Amino acid sequence: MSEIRLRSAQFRREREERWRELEELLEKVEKRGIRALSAAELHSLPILYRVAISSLSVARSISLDRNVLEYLEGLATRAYFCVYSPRRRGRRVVLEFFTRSFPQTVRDLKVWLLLSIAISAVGFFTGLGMTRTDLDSFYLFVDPELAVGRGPTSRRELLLDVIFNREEKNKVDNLSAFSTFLFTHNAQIGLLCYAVGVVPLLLVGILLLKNGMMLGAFAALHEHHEIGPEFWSWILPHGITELLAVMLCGGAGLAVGMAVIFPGRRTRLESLVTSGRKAGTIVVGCIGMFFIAALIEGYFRQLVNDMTLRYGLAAVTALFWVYYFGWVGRAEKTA
Amino acid sequence: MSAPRFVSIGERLGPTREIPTPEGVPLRFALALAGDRAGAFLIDAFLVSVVVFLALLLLFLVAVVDKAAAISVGLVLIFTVRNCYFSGLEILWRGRTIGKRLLGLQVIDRAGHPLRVEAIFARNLTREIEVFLPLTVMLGGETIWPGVPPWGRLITLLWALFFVLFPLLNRDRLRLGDLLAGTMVVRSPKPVLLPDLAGAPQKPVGKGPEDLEFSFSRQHLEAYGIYELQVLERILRQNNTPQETLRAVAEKIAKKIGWRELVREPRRFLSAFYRAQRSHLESRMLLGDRREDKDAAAKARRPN
Repeated sequence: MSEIRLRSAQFRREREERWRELEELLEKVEKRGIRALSAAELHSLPILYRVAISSLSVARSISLDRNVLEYLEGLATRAYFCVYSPRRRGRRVVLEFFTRSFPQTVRDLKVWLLLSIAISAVGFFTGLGMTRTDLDSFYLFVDPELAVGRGPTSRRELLLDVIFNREEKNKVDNLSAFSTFLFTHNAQIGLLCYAVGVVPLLLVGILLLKNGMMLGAFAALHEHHEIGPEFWSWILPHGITELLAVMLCGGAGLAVGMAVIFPGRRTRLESLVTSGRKAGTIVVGCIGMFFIAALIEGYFRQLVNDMTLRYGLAAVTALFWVYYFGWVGRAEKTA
Repeated sequence: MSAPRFVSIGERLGPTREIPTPEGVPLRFALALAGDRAGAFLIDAFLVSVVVFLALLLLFLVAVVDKAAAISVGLVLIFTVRNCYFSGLEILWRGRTIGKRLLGLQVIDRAGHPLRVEAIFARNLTREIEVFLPLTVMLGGETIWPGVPPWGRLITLLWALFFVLFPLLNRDRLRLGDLLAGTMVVRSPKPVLLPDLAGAPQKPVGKGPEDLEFSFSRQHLEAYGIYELQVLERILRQNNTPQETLRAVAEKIAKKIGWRELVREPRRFLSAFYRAQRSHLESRMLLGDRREDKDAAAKARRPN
């Protein structure tokens, strides 16, 4: 016999059957999920995965059959993902996110949250102080479009009209559209905060500062007309949730920016990845918060004009967020 | 929907990255090509806009009854569809969207860990900033940037352009979102296992096995390396290779290796040669002498 016997051909003959077996299992799992497997099949999946990966290792060193090498590479990869990253179910993901990941991540980044609150506060007091001394500086801080006709020249009555929804023409038409406009608008500001944190860190500070100044200017304007408490009853019910979310986004942006500038012992890229994932978590959670804020703003505030009730809701939201970020999901760490 | 079945034999894969497994055998991934990624994104973007368009159409019908509600629902809808489509599908399908499935791409963790939900959120939220935000400013900037000046639009155009080209500027073809989330996009083809060309030799009626007909000596097998072997594999695996091509290839090989006899049946000659060559190169490889191509083989023939 002068027939050439190839080691690699022999190797393949001995294992081919098991490869095909694994391929069938993978096909099933990829089409219908891991639940499509019977108990016996489920048991054999990791065993077959090890067969495939050891075959791959051997094939790399003894076989030059490109088709076999590529096949095994693909097979082992698919099996690897099947064995090591189980498919998550949609509802569980959402639940776990809001009861664990989000509040935990916020606690992880609390330093940056405090910093962004501090920056906003500086902005707020600057806006407040400057508008108090000179009412015309209101326009330095507020875009005319957002002011909806309110400004230093507005009469007290007009300001109160906005606060207590006395303007009949705006009331019904804009009711829900307004809330959703603000929802997308504010969510985009939050995203922008996160984004500019990634690019140049300074801009987050400016954005937060500006937001704070705007609020300060508005507050001063209303104080001037001696309707400060009324103004706060208008802002706070949704404002607590919304401003908190903006500051959280700002904090996330700051964390990412700082991770790049001061990576510590890790490489810049590693440090960016850790903070980037945390920031992503926070921003997704904040979109949820903006949603809640917009609901309050669009419905509650338009329908309820009683100041005690408004302050009541503001207090409830404040307590809720303190509880949520302070305690929810403290016991379990996400896997 | 199934991923395309690539039979990419002999095709150069482009840059690859290795990921260690707990079993100690690194897995090799081919980075996704820029064109494939752009294509996948365009498919996804198209699908998102179709969904939004259909939903808006439905809303216009409702709007006849209640205009305010329709507008509010519409605005929430656009925002939600755009943001949920990518993240939702990548969570459900382990790093694949419809576009990625069609083009055989997959998002994986750069370190080989399971793809985490946080990572998926981070990489997709960043897309909002890379693409959608500048797009919004360029097309209808008034809502987020009141009174946007022309240079504002230019800046956002440059901004978008920078991020679109960003993957071409780094080694791992990372988008900003990938960089931030610790992910990368790779090709995930499903190669099919084809019959072994070096399996049992064919024995046509009335003839002996090919190996008896063609016996190659060691000198004959020193001319080529692994690359040439695998090109030959590709040629032999294509069923529709015309006879003339096979003959031309066979004659070229015969000349190169110094085969003196006349080649009557090129396919039989080539498969016999393939088997002998592979056997030779594999045994050299086992001895630690891996010859990547014909130049390496030539060097091995004449040391120093």
